[in-house]
Amino acid sequence: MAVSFASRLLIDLEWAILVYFLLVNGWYAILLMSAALDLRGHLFRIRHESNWRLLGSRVAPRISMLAPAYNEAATISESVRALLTLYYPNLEVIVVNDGSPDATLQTLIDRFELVAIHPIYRQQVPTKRVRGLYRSRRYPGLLVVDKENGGKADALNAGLNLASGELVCAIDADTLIEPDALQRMVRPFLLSDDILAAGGTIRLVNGSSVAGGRVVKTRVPRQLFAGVQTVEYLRAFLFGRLGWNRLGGNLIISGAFGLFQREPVIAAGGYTHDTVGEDMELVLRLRRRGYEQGGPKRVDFIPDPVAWTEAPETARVLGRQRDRWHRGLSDTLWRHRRVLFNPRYGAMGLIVYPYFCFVELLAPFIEVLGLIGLAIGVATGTLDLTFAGLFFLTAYGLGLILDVMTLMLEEFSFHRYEGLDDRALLLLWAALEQFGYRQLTVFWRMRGLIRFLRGRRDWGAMQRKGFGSPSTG
Amino acid sequence: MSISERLLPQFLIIEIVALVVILIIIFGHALWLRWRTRHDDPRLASARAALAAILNEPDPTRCTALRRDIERLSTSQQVELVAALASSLDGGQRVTLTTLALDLGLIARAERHCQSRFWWRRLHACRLLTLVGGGETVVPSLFNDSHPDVRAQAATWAAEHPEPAIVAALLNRLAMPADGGRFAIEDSLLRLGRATIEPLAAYLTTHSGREAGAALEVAIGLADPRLLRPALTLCRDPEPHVRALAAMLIGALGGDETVQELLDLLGDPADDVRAAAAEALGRLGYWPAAASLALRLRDRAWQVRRAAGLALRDFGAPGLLFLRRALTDEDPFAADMARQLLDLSALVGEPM
Repeated sequence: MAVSFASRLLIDLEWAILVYFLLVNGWYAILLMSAALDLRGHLFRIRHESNWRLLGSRVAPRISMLAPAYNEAATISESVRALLTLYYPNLEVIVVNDGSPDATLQTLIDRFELVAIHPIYRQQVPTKRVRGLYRSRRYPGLLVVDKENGGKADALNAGLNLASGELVCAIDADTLIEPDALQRMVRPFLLSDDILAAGGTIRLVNGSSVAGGRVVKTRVPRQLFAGVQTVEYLRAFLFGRLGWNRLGGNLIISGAFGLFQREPVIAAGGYTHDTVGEDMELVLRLRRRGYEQGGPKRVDFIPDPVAWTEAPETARVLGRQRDRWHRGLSDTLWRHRRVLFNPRYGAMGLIVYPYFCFVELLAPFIEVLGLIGLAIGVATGTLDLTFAGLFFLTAYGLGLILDVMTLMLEEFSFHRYEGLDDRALLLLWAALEQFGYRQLTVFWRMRGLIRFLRGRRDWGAMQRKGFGSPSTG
Repeated sequence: MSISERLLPQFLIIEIVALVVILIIIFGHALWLRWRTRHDDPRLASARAALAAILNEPDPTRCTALRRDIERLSTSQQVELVAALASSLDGGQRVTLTTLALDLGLIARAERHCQSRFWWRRLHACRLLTLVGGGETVVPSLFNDSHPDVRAQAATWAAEHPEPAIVAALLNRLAMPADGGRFAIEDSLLRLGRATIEPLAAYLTTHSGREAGAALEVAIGLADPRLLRPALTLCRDPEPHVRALAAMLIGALGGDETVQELLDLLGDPADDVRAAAAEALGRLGYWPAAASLALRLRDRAWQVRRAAGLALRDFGAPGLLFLRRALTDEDPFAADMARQLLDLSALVGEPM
């Protein structure tokens, strides 16, 4: 009797989880359709588009690029040079040396002929003490801020205080921005006054060739972790974020590449210090203020401006990153819990926020429950091995279909990976992402959730190889 | 057999079929792209060479053979070819390109598409007409299009058409706050230059408040003396934002009337207006205003103190004298601003 009850419970649990999977994947399918429609419109929009008018315009909005740097002596000079050569007519680059103990500041002083300046500026957002400000003799658009260490959010806030642009573009100092990315990213701000922020696509540089701070040949990484993350990033940006444009707007703009209206960011108090998810927290806070105070509140994702970043290639570093991301997500959702199902916040409160709570936040928990149930069922003989196998394949097969549909979107839009071998490799990584990698990320995300509940707020170290030489993965 | 045991294999089969179909589509598309590149690239290369030769050929009668290479392309390829080159041409070569587009039927087709019910078709048509010319009869109606991209493109097209009716239409769109797309309109009005001045002056005379704001931004870029009279009137506008912009405009124009108006605006209740007036006086280099600006170092608003201090610094010796006196001012904010600016004075010439 007891065995039969346990067996029934396990089967019901598996079915409940499969239904959850179906619901989640059903929502993903809606997102995918929304993304496909948006992408179609976007491709129409950019066809035969010529940006020469913007390049020669006297009214192009000024953009201040904010690049926080910590211990980046090895790569900072190349990264800054790449930023200074972006094709945009009204650009200011603000590099914030966040108290690096290495030679980051000295490298900048030497390479860009920096001289100390004393501009009169107002500290509208509180930050750690600024030790010095420098302007380049050779590049008038380059400003370097040297400050005491306070973390990424503090460095961005210091940059915000100094920025003179109507728009600020927050990036990581080691992100490679494509030369015309800003022209593309600024497009929605030129068309509408209601845009609060816009995010671009992040792609992985692992495996591709880099020269002079530019990605010159795009290849799919040959290394396992980088490869599966390529598929993961494509899915996250090309349908995850693009899909939300029509369904209530985005809650996340990647900290590695996002463009914001400066005034609302300053009015909201800039980036929050005591969180590891400062990029998502800022977007959610800005959108809330937009709803509460009647300001701009649209956050759009634009698929064609591209920034390249290096993905972790070892399980240890990747695990730390995912753990941190999930802690950031948990923290942000907890801080703004009053948004949940609150009609005051429109689609954000009724659709977007609940999705992030019940799918993004809790999915690992439910997935772990399902996997453990499946394992117990098979081990105790309660579940037939064939049934368990079919169940596993069906559940993760749905994820695989979404992955390959994302690859199809990429194929019909930007097809950055040109060779047939690269396409085949992407498919292999998509399969491995679902069967093996995904279960690992579930573990890391669960760990992040548990650590958040225990009150842990640190970043953990991220080791990078750098873009100096062409990487072969 | 339970329902679960029956349903699961069916799910799986559906998934496998979907997967196979998507894979066929992806690889089919990849192969088609590869074939198209191999097939079209030589034709496009010879068409590009033919077009370059046509543009450099002074005698049009000798271009007939060359044109065949272009005529062999599909319409969309012809559009692509012409569009790729158009923005980098002007003068005689631009006229030749426009004539070619006309002969190929591209302009007539684009004019037809400007009335299409699909926004993207209207957008592409307007884009082509912006690049190669034409569309005088159809594009103005797109200023009121339902799609923002089409409206913005129509405004971009207008930059090459300095007719008073077009300028007036652009100015009217500028007055619509909910319309968005101000960038393209302002940019076109600035590019139209002299053709904009008279209609803009008339517009500023008859409009006030928010409706005048965006037009003042264009006026500052043009800075023509004919705009002075309406600008002086707008210095009394109820909207602080408009008064600040009007102060900037008269600061860019100069003159006795201007200086008196700016001195009056130093006492404006709005912070932004006082700051704009101080900045404008600094830009004009009107050193007799130094005493009035020195008083503004005590202003409660930071941006006014900053603008006043920078203006004093720009005046040179008379301004620096007032700044040094302010170091011992009983108002700590005035003294602090003076101290910061005098630190700066040693580095005059450094970029700010």
